[in-house]
Amino acid sequence: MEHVIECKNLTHYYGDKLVLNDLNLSVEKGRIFGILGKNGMGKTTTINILMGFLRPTSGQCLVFGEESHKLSPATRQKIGLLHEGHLAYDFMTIRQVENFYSRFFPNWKADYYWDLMGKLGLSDNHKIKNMSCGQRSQVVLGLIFAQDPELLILDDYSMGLDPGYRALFIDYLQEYVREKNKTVFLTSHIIQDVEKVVDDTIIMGHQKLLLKMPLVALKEGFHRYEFRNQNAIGHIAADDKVVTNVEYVNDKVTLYSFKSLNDIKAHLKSLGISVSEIAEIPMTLEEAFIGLTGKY
Amino acid sequence: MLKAILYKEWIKLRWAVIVIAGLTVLSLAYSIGMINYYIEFQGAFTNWMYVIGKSLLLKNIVFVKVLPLITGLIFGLLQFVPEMTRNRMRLSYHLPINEKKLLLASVGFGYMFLLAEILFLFFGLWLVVSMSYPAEVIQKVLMSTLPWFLGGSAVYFLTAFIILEPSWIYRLIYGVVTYGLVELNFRASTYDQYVGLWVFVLIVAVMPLTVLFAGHRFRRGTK
Repeated sequence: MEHVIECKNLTHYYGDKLVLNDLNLSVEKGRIFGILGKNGMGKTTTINILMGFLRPTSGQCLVFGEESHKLSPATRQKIGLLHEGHLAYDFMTIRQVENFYSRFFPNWKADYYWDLMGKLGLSDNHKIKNMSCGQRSQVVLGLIFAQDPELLILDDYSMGLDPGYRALFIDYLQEYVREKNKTVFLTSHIIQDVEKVVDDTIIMGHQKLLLKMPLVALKEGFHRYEFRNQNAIGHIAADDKVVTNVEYVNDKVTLYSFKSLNDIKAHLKSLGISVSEIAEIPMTLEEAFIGLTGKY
Repeated sequence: MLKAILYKEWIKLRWAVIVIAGLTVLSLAYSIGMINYYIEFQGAFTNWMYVIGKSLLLKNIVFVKVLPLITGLIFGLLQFVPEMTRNRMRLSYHLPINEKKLLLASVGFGYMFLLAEILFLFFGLWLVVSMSYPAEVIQKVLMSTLPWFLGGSAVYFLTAFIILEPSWIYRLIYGVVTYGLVELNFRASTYDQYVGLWVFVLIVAVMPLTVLFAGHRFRRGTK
């Protein structure tokens, strides 16, 4: 399978502080990847390395086969970047920014841009700096679509957007990506939105990749079990190949695992914990994310 | 692509270009008035003594000292502060164009506008002085103002360099060096104080390269 992004043994330090430790990651062509991780887990560092704005301490990150910090102009032409905060040349107007970008991309599809701008109902001479964050997000998305890139990297696209603009963003993105078979690598703090659009999830833990798998496989294969037993408190180890995470609240024990209910029961029995009633509780992606990474 | 960069820089600078050109016209008109006033007031002979002996003309055209300096500073700020605010330079760095070409084109076009303003001022000054004085005086005045024009050019490139530099400590150090370097060009208040002018021309000629250095540090993610 062709890899659009391939990071090998990525390690990065800020001074003495280790942020990424031997991270390996690959992104296959034509799929939508959502990278999730709590603050301080190295998500932004990974994105910055991927975008070529940070050189890793060791290891390498290849985008279309080229090292991300020295991408050729031809390769940059194939990548649509959405920077955190919907960064744009806000000293330009709607028309000026289109005029500017169109000269850099031979496959420029102006219709995509003007279609989105038409929905904003603003004059072509409206300055970007006078727009709301939501309006600006539409300008940036329109420019990326018009660029017609093969790979879209969207860094925290939901930041600052109200629910309406978030829904609009996701709707347009889904339509565009499905229709044109693009590869997307996105991050967001709004996991419910990620759930709607991604094929694969990448979850980052402290300095490392916790998992990378199709969303469907995660939703079907990752389970949450609950039971009550005062004697079990403190006796179940997380990350012991059966139990991924464990939480205790009074006598309630919550286990997160990729194993089936029978496997869990057998595991508890082997630990000498007798359980009369154990139930599987369905999870949203957000709950699964918390189950994997922990609440703290 | 270069046309697009020129377009972007023009959008940032156009109002400043127009305002500075307007100020230049006003300043030149003011000097015509001042020169005529001194000639009328002092009489031709005394005025001649002052012009030659006391470098009166240089004192009457103080705006020539200030305008290139201010223009260089304003153009540098207007071009590069928006790029560095919220790391907007990242947008430029993702454009499908060689990074060195992008940076050199940005400062090149900015300097082109600055040079246009400088030449406008220079020829305006030549015109104003030539209305009342002979060729020897014109030559003395114009040659004496060259370090100021050069100082304006240096201020432009070094402002761009300082703004593009990602580290505040480095910016501070560069700022002090810039002050020292540029101040040398503005010390003279009498004619013919341009010893070492050609050395400074060479220094200014390599200044665009400093922008590449700062741009490279930004690209590498230096904090």
